[in-house]
Amino acid sequence: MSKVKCALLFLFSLSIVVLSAQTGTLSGRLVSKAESLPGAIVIIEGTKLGTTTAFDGSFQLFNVPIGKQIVKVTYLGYKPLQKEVVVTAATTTQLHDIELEPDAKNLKEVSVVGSYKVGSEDKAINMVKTSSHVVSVMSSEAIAKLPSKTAAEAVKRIAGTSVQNDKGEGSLVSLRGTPIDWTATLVNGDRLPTSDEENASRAFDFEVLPSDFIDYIVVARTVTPDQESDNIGGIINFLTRSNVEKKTFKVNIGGGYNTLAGKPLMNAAVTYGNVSKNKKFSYVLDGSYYGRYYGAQAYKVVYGSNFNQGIASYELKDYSGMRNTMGANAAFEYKPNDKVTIGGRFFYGRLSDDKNQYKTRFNYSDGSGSRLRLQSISGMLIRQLFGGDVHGEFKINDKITITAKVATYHNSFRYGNRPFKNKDPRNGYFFTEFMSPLLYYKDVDSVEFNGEPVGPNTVAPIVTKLLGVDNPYGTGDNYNNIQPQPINPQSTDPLQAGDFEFYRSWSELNETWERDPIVARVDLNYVINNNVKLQFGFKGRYKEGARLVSLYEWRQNVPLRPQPYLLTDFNTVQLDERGGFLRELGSPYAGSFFPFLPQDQLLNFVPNLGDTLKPYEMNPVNTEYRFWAGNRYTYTEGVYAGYGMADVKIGKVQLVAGARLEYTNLQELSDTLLDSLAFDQPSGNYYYVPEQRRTSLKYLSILPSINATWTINDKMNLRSAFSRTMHRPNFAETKPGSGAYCIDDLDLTYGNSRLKPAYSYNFDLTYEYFWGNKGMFSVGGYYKYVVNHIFAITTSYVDEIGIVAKRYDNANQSFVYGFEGAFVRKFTGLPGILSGFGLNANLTYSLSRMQAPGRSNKQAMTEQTPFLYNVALFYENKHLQARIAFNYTGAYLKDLNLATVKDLNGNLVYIHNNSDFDIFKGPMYSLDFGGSYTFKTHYTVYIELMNLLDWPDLTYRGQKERPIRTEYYRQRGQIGFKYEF
Amino acid sequence: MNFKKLLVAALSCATISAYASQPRKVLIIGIDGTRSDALQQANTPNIDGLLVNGLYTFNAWHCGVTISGPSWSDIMCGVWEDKHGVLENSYSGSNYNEYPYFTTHAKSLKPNLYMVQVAEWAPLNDDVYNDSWDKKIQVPDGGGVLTADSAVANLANPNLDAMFVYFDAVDLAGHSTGFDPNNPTYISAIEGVDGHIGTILNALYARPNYAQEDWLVLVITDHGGSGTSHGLASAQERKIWWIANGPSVEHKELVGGDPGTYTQLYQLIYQVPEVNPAVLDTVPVQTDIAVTALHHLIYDTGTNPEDVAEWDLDGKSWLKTITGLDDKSSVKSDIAMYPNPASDLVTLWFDNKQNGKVNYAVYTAEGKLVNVPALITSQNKLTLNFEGNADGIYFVKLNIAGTEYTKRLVLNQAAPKGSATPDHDHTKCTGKH
Repeated sequence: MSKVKCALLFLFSLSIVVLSAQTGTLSGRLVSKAESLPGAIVIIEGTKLGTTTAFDGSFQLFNVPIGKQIVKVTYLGYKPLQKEVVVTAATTTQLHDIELEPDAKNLKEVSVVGSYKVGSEDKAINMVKTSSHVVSVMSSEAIAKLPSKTAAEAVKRIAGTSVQNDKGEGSLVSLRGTPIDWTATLVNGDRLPTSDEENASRAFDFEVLPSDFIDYIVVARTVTPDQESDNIGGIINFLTRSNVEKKTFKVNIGGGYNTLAGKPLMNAAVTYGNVSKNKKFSYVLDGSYYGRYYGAQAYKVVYGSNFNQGIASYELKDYSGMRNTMGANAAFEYKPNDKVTIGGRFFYGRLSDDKNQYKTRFNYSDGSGSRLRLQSISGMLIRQLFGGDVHGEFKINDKITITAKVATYHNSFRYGNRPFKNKDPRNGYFFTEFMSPLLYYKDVDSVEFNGEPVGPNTVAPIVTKLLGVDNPYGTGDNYNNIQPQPINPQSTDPLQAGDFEFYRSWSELNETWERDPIVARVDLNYVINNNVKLQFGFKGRYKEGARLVSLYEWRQNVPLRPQPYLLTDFNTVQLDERGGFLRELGSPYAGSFFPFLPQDQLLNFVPNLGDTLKPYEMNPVNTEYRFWAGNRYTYTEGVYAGYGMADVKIGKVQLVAGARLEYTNLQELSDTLLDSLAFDQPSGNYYYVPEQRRTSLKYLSILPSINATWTINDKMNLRSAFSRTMHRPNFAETKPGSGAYCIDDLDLTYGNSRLKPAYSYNFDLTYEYFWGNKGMFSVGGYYKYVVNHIFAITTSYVDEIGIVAKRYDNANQSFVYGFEGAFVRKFTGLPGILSGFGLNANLTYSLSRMQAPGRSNKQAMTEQTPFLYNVALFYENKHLQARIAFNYTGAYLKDLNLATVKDLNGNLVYIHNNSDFDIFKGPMYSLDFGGSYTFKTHYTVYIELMNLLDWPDLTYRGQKERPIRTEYYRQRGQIGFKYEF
Repeated sequence: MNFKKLLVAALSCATISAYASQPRKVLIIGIDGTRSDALQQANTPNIDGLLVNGLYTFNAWHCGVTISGPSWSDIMCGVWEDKHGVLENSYSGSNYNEYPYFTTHAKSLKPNLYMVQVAEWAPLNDDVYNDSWDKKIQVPDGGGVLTADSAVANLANPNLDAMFVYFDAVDLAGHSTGFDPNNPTYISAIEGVDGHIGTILNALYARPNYAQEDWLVLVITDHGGSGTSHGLASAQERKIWWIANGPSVEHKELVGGDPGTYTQLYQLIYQVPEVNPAVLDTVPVQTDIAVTALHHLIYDTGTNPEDVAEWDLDGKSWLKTITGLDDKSSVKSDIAMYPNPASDLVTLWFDNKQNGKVNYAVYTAEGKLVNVPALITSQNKLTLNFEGNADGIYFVKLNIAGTEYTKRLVLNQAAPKGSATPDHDHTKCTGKH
């Protein structure tokens, strides 16, 4: 197939016709203060000739009549420019850099101050206006204005984005509220490999990517064939800083405070770049560091039944930790002449998270009676991302440009030195647990199995804890003040530290990595004339990865030491309630905590106890290995793509149409366990023999798309698009071999070696209106019809211990349609000082429907946020910049409860016909403030205040009065200083 | 070893020849967390085969804490928790040096016994000491097939004298989906283990010298369960069952009362009475397993373990040669019916050695014939579904190979149904920490 494409391409190159003798070509580049101006409109007066500038500000006009011509340039926020040129026949007239002057009248005070630049939104608006498809753009200036340090948070204000947080910091981004892994996250046009310890998604976790060296963020809601596929939700492309126009030196130092941790934040960033004297070579180096202490206080409820809302356990969780993000970026660009540009970009990001947790776990229904368990937990989580590319642009002639790029990207997660100091395979997220004696909880009720009150006919009532909304006697706890009342029956004294004995220590092990050792693309642009452009290209990417999740456990060596270890045998520390544990809820647990192990005691716990602890490694010989065999897999994936597209202007309508072909070759390995007898001599254990299984999935995807833009007039665009896009299953979903057990969630889920990618048919319609340089608004609608939707479906296989197995499969057709609006407006018309104010707002409303198994009615898709909006009020003048931003993401259905039981005929039937047992993510409100003041041109001081509302991260079962997890982070802020030369 | 023990050992050596005509051997099969009512409702032909001519009870009570570690220690040591010291699954506090497994007592008299344990739950292998097993085999938790295969492999050894085989699947199913006779997944786990027991029994019967051996097969659970847990004092957790089968025991159903509990928590909070020694002496309990098995193994020494003061055993031997067995107030019954009162499903067990035809009919107290469908019928088992019938008194008439029996049943349909979800010690998958 690719051979045919190659041949076609070659023919095209040969068939290029020479220029008409009556006309000439005009080329140039628009700049302002050494910054390129993309998206400007360039026309030749008195003709219908016109074009828009490219990303680097460059433009080319063909078939320009020879002789004197007037070039008119318009760019929002800048003074229009007219320039007389003389065009000569059959040659290119090179205008080089054309300087535009900011429109002082409209912008009042125009100055370039540090990276805080007045009018930076203009650039973004210009790019939106002249784009061939539906995009939003955010520039580095805009990024720098934000009170944020991860790239995810930088995206937050773009219309239709929603951000998922991890411990109060943005980590995952989705567009239009669609499921997270439907959105493609690209860096410099390439989809990045992912490695997340918590889930196997293809969604990129932004925590590791500092926002400091992002130059532009381009969000595309509709796709064109030259973009990588796997983007049903849309595309977010991060462009790293790749060059400078002049000598640049920037320093940024800031410090702050996290109110929950009670400890500081610190950040520093340096940028240095320069241009050679002959302007042919430029380079830029960035380094950044962001260190911050953080804390979180949470409660968690574990529900114990699929038939009633009884609580199995209740946890109070205290987190404290410190995160360090380090990043480096280096880029160079070499332009030996007008025809050749060669560049390279390399970046590195590292996030280490020293995460410590104290967990008090009230178990109403434990594996062994009612208990209270105390867990001291510590782990060092390390993510690393690095990569880079070398790229070149070769202008063969005025009409043909070839660009090529070779890149490599590496992403990994591992646990650092906890609990052992040196590199040790037993290092992981380390727990030590102490357990109370058998307890009695006073706060329970006797009810029927379905939660109804006990009546005269009740034969065997169950005893369980029910919250207010579910308690049939009206005596349940308020959901935000759950008060377990454990009684130690062995003693008349209340439960105390000396009653707790050591139960177990364990390390959760996780090594997850993914790398794209080689990503290569070549594109050919062929400009036939001002109205027709053709583009062809190829792209190949080879990916390899592994996810290895395991456990290492230590239990008391009872034959050697039968006496229990009591909590009071060790150094302990009282929980720091930090101004009130869950003080947002009135500190309902003040003074009631039991002690924990301080960190040094915890980390030395295993070595200190020596032989009196016995280690249990998770290997095939381990008695619990079959719960783990399915959690380990490796894979390689090759994707080879070719595309062709045409960009055609017909009057006021611009069409970009074409198709992309992608061939995917996935090879994945994982073990299954054979039911045959094997004996391990050293341990004396019989075990299941692992045997490797392979997924070999090869498929070709045909992905046509068309974008149409009707420029009604200078102020209005109407855009529509159709495309077929795909979503590849993630590697857990295609995994061969044993199912992955998740005992906590009662899950045994098998991958599916024959899983197909999901395809979506997308329709978009958007109207844009531009208020000159004062702003813009847009309204639009979209519809996505998704086939082969990937879904975990209950199978008829019931495992020996009674867990009903699930398998990923291509299931229900589903659809989502939505409405979105965006508004940016500067109130320059207001008098005096008020004229610096502006408003930026956007909202997305969507409605989705899917048929969930066992439900009689269609319902909202999982992970589809129905409503989200962002509003920011900003102020800009010569010295002062300020922005207060409010974000709202509505509640949405996260996981369906598809529990089944066998009926008397042995058929599996779904228990729930409604959402009362489904898991929901609660609504999220956030308010952040950022401001800066610039003086003496080069100096800026800034302030950032984050999480001002201290709104908790919420998860619940069915309704908000039945919480699963409520977590608070409190406010944090920082003050900093910037110098730019 | 003290002088008295030596003396006993010497005596036993002297008497071996007198009793050695048929070597006495023991197979103990443990099924963790299997409720008595659920076992009766499940379709378990292999276990049924043991009870139709065995000594069995579905109505025994746990006198200690309903947790696996303590319970298996009761069963295997023949003493209660105040003596063996195990109160938790951590096995901390254990006192096996003073109160060991019955296997250690057996070896003190017969050092040449060859005894093997096959266990799915690691603490049984790792945390128990002074237990004198010649081989402790660890098999995967809930593995079933491998457990049976390992047992079969060791049953082929002609020198084998005692074996303990332990299955965990039923308890795991209970924790994950609910300990409940109305929970189909729990029932199917029981039926799965029954299949493995069939495999093991077939291997036992296939031993080349089986006809010349005197095997005592014991099957028992450690505790029941309620919801997705156990460890407390509800009847569902405390009520247990056991089966003994072999030439050395009679064929009887033992219907005992509740002797009470030793566990303070249960006395204080759940109003379970303290153990009544008079009742305890007459009813089948868990500590009887070790003592009965031990008695069988050392029978040829002429020693009755109940009489060895030094061992200080709490359990009783149920071997038929012990005088005064009938005094232990067991009620013999040709047909067992359970549960009674019942909510919907009722199972009848009967002895149908001739494999004769079985007919049944159900009548109301007024003598009206009722249509009650049979869910399971086998050679010695009948499960009836009373769902939808009015609460009240019924008579079930059985005709087995021409002989008619009548059982009286109380139907009370307000019983719970369904299953639930588990809670475990630690995360077995990565989730949000």
